[in-house]
Amino acid sequence: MQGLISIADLDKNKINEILKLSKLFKDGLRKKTLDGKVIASCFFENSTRTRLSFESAVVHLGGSTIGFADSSATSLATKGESLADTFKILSCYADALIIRHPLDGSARLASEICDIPVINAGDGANQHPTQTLLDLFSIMDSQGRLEGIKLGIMGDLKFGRTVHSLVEAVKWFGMQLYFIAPKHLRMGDEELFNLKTSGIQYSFHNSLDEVAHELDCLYLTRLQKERFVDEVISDTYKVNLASLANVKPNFKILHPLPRQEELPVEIDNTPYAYYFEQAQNGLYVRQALLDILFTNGSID
Amino acid sequence: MNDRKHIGYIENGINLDHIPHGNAWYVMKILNLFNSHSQAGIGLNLPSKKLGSKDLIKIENRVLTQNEIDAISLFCTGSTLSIIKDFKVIDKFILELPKVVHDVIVCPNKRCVSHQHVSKFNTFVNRKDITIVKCHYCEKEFNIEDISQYKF
Repeated sequence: MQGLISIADLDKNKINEILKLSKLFKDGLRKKTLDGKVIASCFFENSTRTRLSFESAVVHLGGSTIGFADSSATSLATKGESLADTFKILSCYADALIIRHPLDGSARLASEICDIPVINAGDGANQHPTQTLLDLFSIMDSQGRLEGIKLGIMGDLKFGRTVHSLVEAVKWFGMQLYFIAPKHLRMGDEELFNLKTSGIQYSFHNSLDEVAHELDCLYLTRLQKERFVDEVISDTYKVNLASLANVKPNFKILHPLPRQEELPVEIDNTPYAYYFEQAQNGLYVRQALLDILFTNGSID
Repeated sequence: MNDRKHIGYIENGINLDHIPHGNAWYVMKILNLFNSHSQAGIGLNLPSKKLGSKDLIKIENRVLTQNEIDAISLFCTGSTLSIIKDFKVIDKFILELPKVVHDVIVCPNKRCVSHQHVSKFNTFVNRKDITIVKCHYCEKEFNIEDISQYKF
């Protein structure tokens, strides 16, 4: 069985299949696809939303989880066991492995070593494909479509992991992108070239105020202050109530969370706040993913 | 000038010609010539109509594995590899950029899992005609010119 390591492993049809099934789960579909199955949930670094939504998805599908949320008590940490051996052992006790590990590429390595399907729940700064799927699902569920969406992406567009994966996936859906970031944190040339060759329209902006009235969704990334040259600039990339004065009625704010000062709590009480529902959507998307994996024998 | 004058004939072995100037060092390292008993002739900075200046390596009693050819090809794309038996060339081909190289490049990304296992890189030439190597594990892309550490 083939799991999911990178968003690039999925094509448009497969993404659409996952999103449609996610919607059915959100609307109340109940299945016991994982009845009698044991899923290893192995988180070598901290996680709140990803780990709990995965484990909840397993339980909702009738399966059981084993694993750990803190690798400090494993033989890897205390007895010097190699990473390769650790992955091999994990695959001995479960039907699938959900893994988060701080090293880039660790999920790909695990998938090559393990005899069971591996789902990447975040490998360092590299990939977090289920986050991308739930981001896409959240855009679709809040707007009723993906094609033609005007999507603002604001913050650190150079180093943010979720942004790169999302941009890689939106090429399938003909969205119009508005990049709102200081020059030194804009997306790289190769990535922009790939967008261009995929026919995606994009533009650059220095503040949300310039484009807020045009957007259907705004995808915010966590503000890492050390990346910004001064505080004045970092203030430009925060959302505030004034910047939402002229937005469209269907406008929604998405954020992968956890948030910092870029998304103040005063926004929570506006009709534009979608990020908590977005986090909840993670449950449905992960249910869909596991359901497809164990029904079809493969995700891609 | 005739290269044969400089480093002699090979009876059985290989002749790697048209190595880009300065890259013979990589071949010597990949094939571990410094610690082997194979007789080898090394020509550096030889005149070449095609390249202007080239390197050349002849090794007696040496066959190459496919992994060695792939590794050498990364630094010697376009070079000519001749297989020699009884002083005659029995096979000759132009080295092409390998699609994949195993355990040759040390990933510059310090947080890449390949540092705890083996390395594997995919290669391609980008739209600016630059050879790019992409780590199979961390998925990061690098200009081959920026790679400073190798496993050999």
